[in-house]
Amino acid sequence: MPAPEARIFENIKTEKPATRKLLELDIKFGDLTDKNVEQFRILNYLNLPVIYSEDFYRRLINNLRYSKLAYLKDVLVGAISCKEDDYEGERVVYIMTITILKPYRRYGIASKLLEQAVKDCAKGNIKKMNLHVQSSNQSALEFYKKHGFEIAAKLDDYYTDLQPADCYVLVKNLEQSTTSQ
Amino acid sequence: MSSSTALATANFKSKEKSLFTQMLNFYDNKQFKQSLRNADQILEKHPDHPETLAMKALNMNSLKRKIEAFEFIKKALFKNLSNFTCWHVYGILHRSNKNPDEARKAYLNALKYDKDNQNVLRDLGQLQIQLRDYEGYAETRRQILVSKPTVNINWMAYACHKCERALEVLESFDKTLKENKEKLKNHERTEITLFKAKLFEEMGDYQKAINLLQKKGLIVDQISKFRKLAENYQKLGNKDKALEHLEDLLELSSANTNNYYQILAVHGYSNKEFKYSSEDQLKIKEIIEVYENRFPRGNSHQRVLLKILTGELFREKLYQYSKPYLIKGVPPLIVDLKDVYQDKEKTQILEETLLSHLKSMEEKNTLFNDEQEQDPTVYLWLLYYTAQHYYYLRDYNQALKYINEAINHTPTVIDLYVVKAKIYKRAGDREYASKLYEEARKLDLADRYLNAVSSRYLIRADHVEEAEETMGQFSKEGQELNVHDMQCMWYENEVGLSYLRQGNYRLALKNFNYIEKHMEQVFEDQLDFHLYAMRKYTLNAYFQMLEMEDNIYKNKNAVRAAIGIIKTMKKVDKIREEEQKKFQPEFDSYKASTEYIKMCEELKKRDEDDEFKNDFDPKGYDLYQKALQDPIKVAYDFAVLVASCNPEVKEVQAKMIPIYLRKNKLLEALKAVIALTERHPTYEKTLSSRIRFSQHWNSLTEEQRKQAIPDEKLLKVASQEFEALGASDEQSLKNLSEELLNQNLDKIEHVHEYIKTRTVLFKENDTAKYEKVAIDALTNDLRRNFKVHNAANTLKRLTKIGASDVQYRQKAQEVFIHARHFD
Repeated sequence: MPAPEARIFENIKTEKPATRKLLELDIKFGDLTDKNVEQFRILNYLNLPVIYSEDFYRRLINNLRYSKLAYLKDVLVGAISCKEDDYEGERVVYIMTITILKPYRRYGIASKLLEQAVKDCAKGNIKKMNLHVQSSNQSALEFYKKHGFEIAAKLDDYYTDLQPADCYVLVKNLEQSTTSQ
Repeated sequence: MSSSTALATANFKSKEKSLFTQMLNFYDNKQFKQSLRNADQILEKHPDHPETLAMKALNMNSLKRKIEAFEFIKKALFKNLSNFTCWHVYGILHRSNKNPDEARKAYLNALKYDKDNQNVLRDLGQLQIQLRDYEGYAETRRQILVSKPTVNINWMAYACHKCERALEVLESFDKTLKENKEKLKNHERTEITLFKAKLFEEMGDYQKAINLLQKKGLIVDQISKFRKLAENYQKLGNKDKALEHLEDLLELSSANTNNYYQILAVHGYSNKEFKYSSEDQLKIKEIIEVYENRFPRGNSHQRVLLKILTGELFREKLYQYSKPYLIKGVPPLIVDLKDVYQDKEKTQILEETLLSHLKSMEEKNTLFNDEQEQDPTVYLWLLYYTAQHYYYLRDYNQALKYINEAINHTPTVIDLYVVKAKIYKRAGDREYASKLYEEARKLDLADRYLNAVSSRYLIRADHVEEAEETMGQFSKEGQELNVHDMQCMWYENEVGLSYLRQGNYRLALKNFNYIEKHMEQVFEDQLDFHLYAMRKYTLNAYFQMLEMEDNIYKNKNAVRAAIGIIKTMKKVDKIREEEQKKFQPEFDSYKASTEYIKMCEELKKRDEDDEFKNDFDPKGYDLYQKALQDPIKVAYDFAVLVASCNPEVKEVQAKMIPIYLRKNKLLEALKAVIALTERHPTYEKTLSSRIRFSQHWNSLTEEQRKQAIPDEKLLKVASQEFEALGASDEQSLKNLSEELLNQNLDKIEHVHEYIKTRTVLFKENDTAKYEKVAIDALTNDLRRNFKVHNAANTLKRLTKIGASDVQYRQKAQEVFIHARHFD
């Protein structure tokens, strides 16, 4: 799969979305499949600081179970991608990315995606979810904490292509949270 | 044949008798090889037995040993000229070799010796209707009916002709049904009743049609019933009743816009161009809005009004109609409103509506004149619609601005890339358009439509191999691309045109030839339906099918293929010797290649029936070899079928004229010139066609004209018609061409045709002037964005005649900034 043509995305400007009052949106979830993975790729390509390798997407296709796409009136506006993983000898689900297109941020879509993933994990008898967050990414840390994740460790020099290179490992214990929430 | 088995095998011993019966069974089960083996065994004992010889020929024919089969049946016939079986088989062989006239003769001969043979009569009838010999068909079916009146299908088949007789037959059929206490199934009864009603209607007896339609229990298809009732009442002039039934119809299908147009017609509003005064518009609005309240869930009534209303009435209706779709995000909204673009004022209103919504969304996230906050997709779709709007107006810069903004806003929506690809395609960059469409395709690999269209874009950019690969992704697993046996004609046409552009005339011809074959096939296919339709009582659909088959060459793919073949063969004709020299070694090495030999071996092993899977000439070498002998004949043979079916299609008519002239078909050429002059007086090729014809006609001696049109009366009429076209001396023609140019100085397609006419037909070479008028046309033409292709042709023409094209090219680059034709 070659990278999407740069020229296809003309006029790209990055601007911060204005804060606005929340409109309740009817978000539907869909599955990530080998047929629509390119849509997911474009989502990440334009919205994440890291450009993922082809290998990432190839592995992803083989491990799609806990990934979800978010649709607003049939338009793909965001996605969560996860994979099953081993963490300290336990079967966990590792969150790789959560992406929401800029115009659709601050509508609570990411929360809905994460909640959906948590539900799916619980159904799949997964006891724990975890992820890495760049140490400087305050808003992400806040977001995950709000959803019951806790800092379990700090890894130095985790990223090779980002500054700062340190990250936190965040973990959410599903057995507790399903009873407490 | 089984009924006569006993007679045929009267002299046989029991062993041969059983072999004979087995042979027939094998044949019926399509086990041709086994059947043939039995035939051979019988022939050892009875070498001249006519029925066995005939069966042997039949089997050979089914095993594709056609020539042998013919020799065989002829031998059998020679020995048994009075044997009906041999004649019957002789007919069958002719029919399967697409020689219906010979087949018909053979069947008639067979009937001489066994006049009531049902099989022969049935086959004959089928052939007669296939050949549209209605009288012969009626007589044959009458004979069948007389000998077997208890079979319902025989009644149906005999009823299949002109009005009064058909009604009589159907009445008698009803009687026999009653006598036999037989009942038809509901849908069978429906079909017959509707057919009868149609016959009454065609005879102008509307009241009888109405009475029949209203009888209880005859028709299950309520929609057809109400529609027919309304039509008949309307023809009788009973408006109230017509409206009543149209409203019944709306209850069942309120989505059909035709119902509303018919309601308006009953009220007296039946303008074909949908143009009405503002007073009439108000009245129409009142009539239709009644139904808006009655059927609030549909939108057909609104669409009818959008088509008819203008000005402020239109603006208001458009706002009301489009609002729910804007909020919902319905991608085809603008495509659906395409009609609007025929009216400048309405186009302007549509633009204003879109832009004011966009502005309002940007400022406060609400639609224009509305308070409710909308989510971001509403803005996205507005950008998309606006891009499409400018695309229809061929304002490519604006269209690109909006579509890029939309992609920037939400890059995951496939439709956006589709529109962007379309914009680049029209603006003249096929290569980049194809890249964009590939992007759209990749976003949803499960979408077959995207797959097919992306293939088309690839072919347009002359990447035929990639296109084939892309199309192949939807072939069944493990199978090759099956476009030819699926009769996928758009694909074949596109590939043909691409090869023509690339100068591969062999493959271009091969691809256009596929379509020629499909047309024959489709016509052939109806053979099976003549009896099938009777058995199923679907008379109405059957007549529709016959009509469709009669007009098979009206099909737009046939038209495209005909134009393609003419273009290709004209090219080949020009460079024939050169091409022949080049082709012979290619041909020899292909025929000697292991690839070819292997393919032949494999095909011989298969016994599939499909012509396209069994193609011994998939690369068109044999076809092209023949074409090189006489390219003009190849063009003529197919294109004349299309041209005679499409007198109104200007491009075909214009392209045919030089072909007719080469084939010395003066009359046909003159007819085409007249058709163009009468139907398409402003078409740029109309005058040049006339000039070409006039020059040719004047160059002929009286004697030569007589040779071309031997019938004296016809020649006289032709001469008169020719004179009626106007003065035809060289100077007058030159003046006419100059005059036409002066009327169309701002139209590049006219300038192109003018240059062609002056250089090719008048042998002039005023290159400086040609370049100047070409540049002027590009400068002055306000609708030039429609004409990238014509402008590119003009460039080619200028280069060809050795004119300096530097300035023209520069101008064209400036005007068509996205096009690649002028690089």
